[in-house]
Amino acid sequence: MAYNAYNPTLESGDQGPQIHIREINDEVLDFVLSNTDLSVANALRRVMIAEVPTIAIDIVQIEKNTSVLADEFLAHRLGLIPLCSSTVDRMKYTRDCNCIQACENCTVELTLDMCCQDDDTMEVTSRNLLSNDPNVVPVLTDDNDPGILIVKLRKGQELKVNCLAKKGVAKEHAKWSPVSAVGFEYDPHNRLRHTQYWVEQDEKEEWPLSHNAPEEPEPKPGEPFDFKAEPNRFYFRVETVGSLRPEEVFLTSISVLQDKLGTMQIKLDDDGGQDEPSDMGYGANDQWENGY
Amino acid sequence: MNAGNPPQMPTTGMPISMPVAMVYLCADCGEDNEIKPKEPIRCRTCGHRVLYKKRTARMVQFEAR
Repeated sequence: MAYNAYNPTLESGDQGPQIHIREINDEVLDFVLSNTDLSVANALRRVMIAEVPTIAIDIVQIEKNTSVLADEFLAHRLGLIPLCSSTVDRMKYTRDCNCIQACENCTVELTLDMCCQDDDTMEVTSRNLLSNDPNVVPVLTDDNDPGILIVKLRKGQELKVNCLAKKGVAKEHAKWSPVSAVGFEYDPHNRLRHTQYWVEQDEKEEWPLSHNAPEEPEPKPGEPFDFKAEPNRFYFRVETVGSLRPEEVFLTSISVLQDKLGTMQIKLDDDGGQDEPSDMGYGANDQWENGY
Repeated sequence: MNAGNPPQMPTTGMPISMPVAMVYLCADCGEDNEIKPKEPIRCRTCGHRVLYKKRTARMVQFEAR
């Protein structure tokens, strides 16, 4: 019996959505989500990409820049550097904070002060960014990681920069996304005919099966098309940029979704859906108030 | 048109604002050149007519986006 996401009265023996983890490590989480609806799975994917808060450099104050890169160019590069964001839930959004531009509740300060005095080229990397919060530092995989190259300096060139890192979500700017990609697939044999393959001669020959195909039985040749069938198993592969652990990304995305549904329920209960039309999920202001 | 404005009074006790000199870099020899408004744009040491303006000493702020 398929799980009906719109009417979640569980049949006896039906345990609701299920997750089977196939691979998990520092940067990747690969799992199969089953017994739920396509809309639920896709909502999860979208929230993981765009609505899980992280910390990223948002304001760059440049005191000295005699490098070959223009100030704007440098500011953009600094913004894209992933910062460890495990403590992001203790931070406030600056728009919700009492301060005007920055304070310790909503901002982490990072400084970069480099000057090349040698004859050979100096490489300024994310390792040279010094943070005032030991929990919020540029992401490094291990001690051998050289860090992310920001700019190269020639003899006599100098860089003095102060960066303000803020909490944010990727729907405002992609630099806040905790993931580099979320792999998403369902129905690897195309039983449901949600896609149509372009072929020259033979579909099987020209379109190799995905690595998720062995998870589902192969359709028998000449099998009749079931037009009532619904997708039921979803193959996810969450790949992080290192700011959050993959399981943190997944768990935060669940609570973000729950918060959205919670506010929706409260709004519907409050005015009984009678008075003003609730702009939940559409009005940007409404969403900001709810803290996403 | 300036009927509503009070007539400009001659300012007394204010120092006469001297034309401020700015420092420019010569594009040829790299020498610092102090040049005041209306002065010919020319390097004092080598006579080159291309000069560069120096970067501001103030801090500049950008959005990292």
